[in-house]
Amino acid sequence: MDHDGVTLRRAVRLTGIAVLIAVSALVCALAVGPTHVNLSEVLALNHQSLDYQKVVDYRLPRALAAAITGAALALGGVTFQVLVRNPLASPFVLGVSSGGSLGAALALSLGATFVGPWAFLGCLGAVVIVFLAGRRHGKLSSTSLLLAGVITNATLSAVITFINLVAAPSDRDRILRWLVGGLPESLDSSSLLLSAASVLVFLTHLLLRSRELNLMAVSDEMAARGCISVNRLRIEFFVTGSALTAAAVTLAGPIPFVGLVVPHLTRLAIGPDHRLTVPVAAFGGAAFVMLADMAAQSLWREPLPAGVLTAAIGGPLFLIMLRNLDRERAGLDG
Amino acid sequence: MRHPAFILLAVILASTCAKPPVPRSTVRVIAAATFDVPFPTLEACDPIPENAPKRLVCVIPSLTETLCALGFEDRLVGRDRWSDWPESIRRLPSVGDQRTLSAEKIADLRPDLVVMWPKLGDVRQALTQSFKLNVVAPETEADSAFAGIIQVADSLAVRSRGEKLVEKLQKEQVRIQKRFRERPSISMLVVLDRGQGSLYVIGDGSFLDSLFETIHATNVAPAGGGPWKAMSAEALAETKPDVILDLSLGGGAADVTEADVFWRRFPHFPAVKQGRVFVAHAPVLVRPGPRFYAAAEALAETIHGP
Repeated sequence: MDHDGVTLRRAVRLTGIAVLIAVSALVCALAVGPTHVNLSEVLALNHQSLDYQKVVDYRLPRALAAAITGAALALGGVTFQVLVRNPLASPFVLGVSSGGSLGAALALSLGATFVGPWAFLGCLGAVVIVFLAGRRHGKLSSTSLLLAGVITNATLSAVITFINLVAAPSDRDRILRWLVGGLPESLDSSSLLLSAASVLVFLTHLLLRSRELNLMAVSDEMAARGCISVNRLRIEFFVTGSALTAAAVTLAGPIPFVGLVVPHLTRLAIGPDHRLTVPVAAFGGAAFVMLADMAAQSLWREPLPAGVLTAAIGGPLFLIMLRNLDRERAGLDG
Repeated sequence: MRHPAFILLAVILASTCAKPPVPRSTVRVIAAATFDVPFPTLEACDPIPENAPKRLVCVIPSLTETLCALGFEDRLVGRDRWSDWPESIRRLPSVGDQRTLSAEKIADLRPDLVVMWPKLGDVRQALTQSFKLNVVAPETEADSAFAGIIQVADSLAVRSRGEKLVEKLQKEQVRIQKRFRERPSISMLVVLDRGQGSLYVIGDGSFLDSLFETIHATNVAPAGGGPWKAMSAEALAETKPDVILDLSLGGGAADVTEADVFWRRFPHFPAVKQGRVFVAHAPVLVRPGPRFYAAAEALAETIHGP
């Protein structure tokens, strides 16, 4: 059997496992929540029962939103880590989430009831700023992008702090809740479908471009040797990563660490080949956010935003990963 | 040993052993019991009709009090974290607060009416669309607090009770105004919260602002900025209030010490100089509910004297 055949079989097997994990997470997210549910009522498809409404009308859209957010953030992480060739890059490093947060903070301080459209406009604004600032002589450079992202992040964060300070205390609570990152209590089906469609489109795009992702992850020269226009690819990946982040941030706010931890965990588990990493990270990210939201909803006496849990789990997990990586490197050097 | 350096060292060491004088506190605490006032009783009301909601969840403290004043105390099945009056409702399950409100937890209490904040659009949508619940979200922060009471009474099918309550509150306000009209007017600033570098004070044009005219005081906060107006300490210095009422206390003893330390930073303020900085844990004074004017009267008695 040829090499591609082996990779395809491995990809199908690993993606199958990732799908299984994501489906299990979905079942957990439907069964466990802030209140008790009698599952027999749900399985009896009694539309009038409160338990049915809890699971089907409330938890299911929430879990799907969590899955879409997780997948988008994980794919955004994969893309940005290749784009800036920095393992510490996450979907938020290029300022996209700060833009979304600024839009949301502005909307909340002005008393808006729904912040999604504002967050999306904020993301879009930040993307345009970083794109224009990251170009040198008509070309996108990794270093310039990273610097432009860091500076945009810092500037927008300062504006968010200012808005937070001048906002009424009742609005400050809502701004804080949004900034921590959490799924809204209700989502209209159109925004859910739109986000799902965007994630699906960009997932397909990344799968089709997984060979180029592999080459770019090594070096620009390698990518150029593969007869690829490096600048065009950079723009493509920048747009893809930004759109995925914007979709996630618009849906659930800036949920931290997903885009950093999930791609790393995926690479640790299955290796650096993006033909495998892309689908597995997408389903892994979906499962991670679904489980984090489920735990955040049910662990404490009052539901918490999922971002609190992803940060609490993701931070230490990332430190452990770093430690293991250092040990491995020391072992190789030794 | 008589070297000046040794003498200086001895003086310095001796000075560190001396007990520093205990400074007089800059703040005067108004006991929480002062504001433990009842709401007006509604006599000779129409009975509650059959079609009125039987299970209520309210997540706005001022309107929880309103529901009780309208005669629905025994129909409440859930409350928010901050609804704490009357005492009987403290045993009810809490469904969170503005930051942590969960539609599922509210629905789990099987209410037939939910009274909630108008700004929490996503929770409201989940309650009405996923759980098919009736929700009323009256305006509470601006000068429409009375309109909010009528709106809630309407949704409870007891509009006449709501109108009676509003009438009683308006009469109560006029009575208190008359009682303190002859006292010297006081320039006052009411601090709602102390943030990092900012103070939040009662601004003009809100229901809370009516506190000043009720107790014969003037609000020295600059115009504009809404009910929760942000001010810098420097801007505060320019207002020169005779009285400062600091309502940012959480209720603990440590909060009083913290307030004392904070106001000690502004010794040139007339209110600080004259020992007229009052601190209190009095959520009732920031709730546009049925006990607001009774609490305002208790405050006026403290500030003006009985």
